[in-house]
Amino acid sequence: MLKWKKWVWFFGILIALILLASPFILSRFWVGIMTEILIMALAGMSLNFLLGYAGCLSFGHGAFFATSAFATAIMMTKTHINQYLIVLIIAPVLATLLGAVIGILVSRLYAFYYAIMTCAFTMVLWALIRRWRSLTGGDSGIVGVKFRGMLEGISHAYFFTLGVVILCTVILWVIGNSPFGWTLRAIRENPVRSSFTSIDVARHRYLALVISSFFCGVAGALHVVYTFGAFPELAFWTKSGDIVTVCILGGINSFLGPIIGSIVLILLETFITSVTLYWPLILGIIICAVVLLMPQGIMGVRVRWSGGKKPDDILS
Amino acid sequence: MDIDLSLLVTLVASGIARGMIYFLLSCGLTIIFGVLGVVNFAHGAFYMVGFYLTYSIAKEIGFWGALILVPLVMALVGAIAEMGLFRRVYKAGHVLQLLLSVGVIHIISDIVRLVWGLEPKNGEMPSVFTGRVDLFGIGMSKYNLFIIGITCLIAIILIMIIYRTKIGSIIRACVFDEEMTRGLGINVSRVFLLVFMAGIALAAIAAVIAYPVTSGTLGMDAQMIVIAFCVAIIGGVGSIGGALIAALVIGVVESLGILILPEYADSFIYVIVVAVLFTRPEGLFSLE
Repeated sequence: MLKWKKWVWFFGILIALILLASPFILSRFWVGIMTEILIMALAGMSLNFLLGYAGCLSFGHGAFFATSAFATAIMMTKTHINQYLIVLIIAPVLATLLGAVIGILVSRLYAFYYAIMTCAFTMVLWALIRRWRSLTGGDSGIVGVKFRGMLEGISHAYFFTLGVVILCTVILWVIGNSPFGWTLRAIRENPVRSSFTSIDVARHRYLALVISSFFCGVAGALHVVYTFGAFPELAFWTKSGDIVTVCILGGINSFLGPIIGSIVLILLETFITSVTLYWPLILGIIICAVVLLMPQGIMGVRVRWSGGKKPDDILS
Repeated sequence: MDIDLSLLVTLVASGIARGMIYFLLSCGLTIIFGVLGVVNFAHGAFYMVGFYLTYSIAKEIGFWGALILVPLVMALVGAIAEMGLFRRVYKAGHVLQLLLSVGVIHIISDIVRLVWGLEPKNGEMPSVFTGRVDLFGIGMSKYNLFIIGITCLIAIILIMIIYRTKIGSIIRACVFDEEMTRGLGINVSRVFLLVFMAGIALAAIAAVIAYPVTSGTLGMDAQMIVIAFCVAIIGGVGSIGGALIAALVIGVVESLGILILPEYADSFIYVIVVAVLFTRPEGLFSLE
């Protein structure tokens, strides 16, 4: 374990250098891929806050992602709010409101029921987005959202995304290690026993969902900055499935797991889609392999190899 | 007024027929969950494969051949999926089980895309069922009557198997206490395999029956799985009777929704689900 700690600083500085220098070295395409990874990582971390800490599997995080993306796109194209910073704050707040409404309905549910109900909500939203053509543009979504000034150009969008993602990561880390975060972990381990120690289980799970939906909303708004558009597929269950996949692939017992997961997933997607059309097939095989062969995710394998702490403890 | 009434009856009848299809689908889901404790999120994907298989088989040997053959083929597919994948995650917790089903959905829907292509496939009505039959002065579609009849038959057979045969009592024993059943010398994993195959076969029967009246698209798996889960939530997971009532309610509401608000007809289900969740959030899940 000590050996690992010595290398942390080295790797940290290396990663910081790569992150800062990449727009000047890499091509536009790869800067785009890195932006995508950052956005997916934030969405994954927001879900992992709910899944890894509170133990609630939301299969509808795409709903928050899509709500925020569409709110951003609609506000930028159809209203006269020109200050994109205001837009980028309002949009996640709207996603949070959606999370607050869904949370009322689901925070008493457990395990499968929780996952299924959140999934049902995102499918409702998907149907709604496709039907409400006048507002959302129907199947084709909203394209051509323009951000002028500071966010123009891919490297500016990248740096903006990087900054926001780092800020959100720090905030999530602080919340996760606050007494609130530890209470969530207690609930994950044993909801019944937690309720005996006078913890309001439903309320804590509700708050976890609300917090999580906010950060997922931030990721959704950043998605518009990156792609200049919002599409109904964001609310389809596959998007939510991808967010879950990122968490499991990286390892839900690790704070950094979703980041690793999104790096691996998006790089794989980029390489494989450039070779073959059958990315979903390969994605399915990868998912099955992860579930059957390394259920603790990549970070879990790391722990097993280094012979360190048991996987269940590494969240702390 | 008279026309309105007959229209209403026709709509209710088609709603019941639709509900019967939903019942068959979610019945398989419920049985698998009740016995194996696994939520098969890929159930809709198996339904989709069943539908596309029907499309290919019905063209060759007709609807009746498909009605026999497709469930058998799908039961085999289910057996492969159970032995290769699902068997390994029974003890792994719900997160991994759901993610495994997601992987299966990705694989299945991409294979369907690979084999059958992107164009939607329209079902074909067997000539026996074209036209209407006069029932108490109201014209009823023959096919809807057939759906209702055959589903009732299947439901009765199913209930007979579960409550009147030895294999049925073994299955119920597995639900009640798996370890004890194992201790009595019963090969529980074989029972699980059988139940999984039966659940997939039910989804396939639903697909064959739905084939003449719906059209198959690549997104149909998600649509059907959400409906199946709504049925399971309203009716109580693990209860066949509850699933029947919930499926009928959903079918009729969907059908009448077209009359009232055609644009948002399929959102009515979710309104019911939300209402049920608000009023009886704990009481719904009879098995828990």
